[in-house]
Amino acid sequence: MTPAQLTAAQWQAYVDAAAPLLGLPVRAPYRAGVLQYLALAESMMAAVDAVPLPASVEPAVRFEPVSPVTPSEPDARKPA
Amino acid sequence: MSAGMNATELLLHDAATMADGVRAGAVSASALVQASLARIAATEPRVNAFTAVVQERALRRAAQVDAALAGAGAARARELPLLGVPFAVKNLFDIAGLATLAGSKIEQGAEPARADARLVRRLESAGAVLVGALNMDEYAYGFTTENSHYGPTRNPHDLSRTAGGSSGGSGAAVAAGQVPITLGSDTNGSIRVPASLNGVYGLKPTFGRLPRTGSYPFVSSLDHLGPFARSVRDLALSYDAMQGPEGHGPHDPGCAQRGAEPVAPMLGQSLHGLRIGVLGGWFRDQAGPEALAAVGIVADALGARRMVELPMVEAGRAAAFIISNSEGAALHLDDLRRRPEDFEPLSRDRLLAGALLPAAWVARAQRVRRLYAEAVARVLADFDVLLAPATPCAATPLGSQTLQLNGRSLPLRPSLGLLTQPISCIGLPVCAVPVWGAHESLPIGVQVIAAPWREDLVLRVAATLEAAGVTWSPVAALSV
Repeated sequence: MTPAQLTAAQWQAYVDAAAPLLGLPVRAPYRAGVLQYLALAESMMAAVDAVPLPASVEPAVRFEPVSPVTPSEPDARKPA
Repeated sequence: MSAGMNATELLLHDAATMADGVRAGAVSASALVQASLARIAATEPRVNAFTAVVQERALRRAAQVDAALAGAGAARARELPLLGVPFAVKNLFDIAGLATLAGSKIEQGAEPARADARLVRRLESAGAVLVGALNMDEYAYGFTTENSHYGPTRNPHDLSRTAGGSSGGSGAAVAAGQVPITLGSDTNGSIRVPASLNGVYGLKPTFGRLPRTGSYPFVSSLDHLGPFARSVRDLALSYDAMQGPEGHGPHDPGCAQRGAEPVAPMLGQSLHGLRIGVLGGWFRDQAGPEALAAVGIVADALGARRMVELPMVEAGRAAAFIISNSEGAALHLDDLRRRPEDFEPLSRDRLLAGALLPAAWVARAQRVRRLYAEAVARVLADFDVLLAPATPCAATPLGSQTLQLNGRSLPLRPSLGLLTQPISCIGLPVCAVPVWGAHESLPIGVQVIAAPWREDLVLRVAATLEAAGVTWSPVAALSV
């Protein structure tokens, strides 16, 4: 199923549902701007979604496990 | 040459010349720092590059440098590459005793930093003297340094225009001759955009090259730190002084902790045999006439004739947008909940929207980013250096809302990064070089790009262009 482009009313409904979930106060003066930027992000996501993505592609973030460091055992990762 | 120059005259030269003057005893570090402080005081009412000047600290440090030159350690002190050189940093770098503002009002209430940022310490270890903190877009989310809390930084070459951003103070302070070297950060273009608009050199190193310890983050998976200067050798000297793995204390998990690979001794090497390409496609479609003219000037000087297109640029740029919007917002989620009214009005709505993006979008964007990096790496197997405009246009008037670009009307603030975002997204090293003559009166920058960890190539190309008089970075004609 291809993602649908949301209407302004659908985005408003999304904000009404998601903002309380996150505890975000999207007050009246901010609302038009928030909807504008959500629509912009949606248009960006269309370009991202258009790329075929095999499961073998890893995300471009990495995590390094953190080893404990004791005074008698210097951190081997770090240069002397 | 520094012979016969006083400190005020010397301040308008590059840092290497200043250090030579201090080394030779022609001028003291104290006199040089006093000259910098005096120029800051004289020009700040017009430029507004600084948010804090650490006068007492700077004079104390300069006196220490002078004492070292007069004492038993004089021979060692004279070897320091940035001896007595004043510098300043974007106010997201920790400065001991000051709250790290990151351009915000909210962080005014933060505890003062207990120590200097790693890169500040490294520059001071190389003999440089910190004189202050510089203005920026709030939390680095912007390209114009129109900061509602601290006022806009104005372009020293035309005070009615933007200095770019988010490191606008860093670009403007160098162009105004207040200091010869500054530090900034670049997540999507925040070194290269102000370098372009202020007519100075800027280096965005490879992602993971320089440690970010002691700096306020924007988007951890995309943030880079780097220097601005008015000469390529100053970029190289400061970059070399900041390289190397972190030894003790906290370290940056995003830093590759590579050994130092100094480039300053290599700047004069011939470019003979380098395969230099000119980026087409996206990098022409999103560029205005002066941006294309600037690339043409640089390409002609280098004899670069091969056009090349990067695959997946639009998707890569969009991935950077999604990641920045989401990760940047998530960082500030607590404050967005509690005190949204205290955020910069120009970026608050964008941050609120970013906090609402679906998680699956962000995860997919990070995977597309990987695929894009791999695709570009295949292109870089056939090229050593790539050229592209740094900004779609020269500096725009402060307050501008839209950018007219090739028949389209685009929102200005995000669009100034159209040409930089696809490159930082995949962490490639870039030197932004200043070109004059492409616009009727203003500078505009060109990105000199290479494969990861090849800062040597981008700086050698930049040095060649500078030596040939193709690029240059004058101090702005601000009457003092």
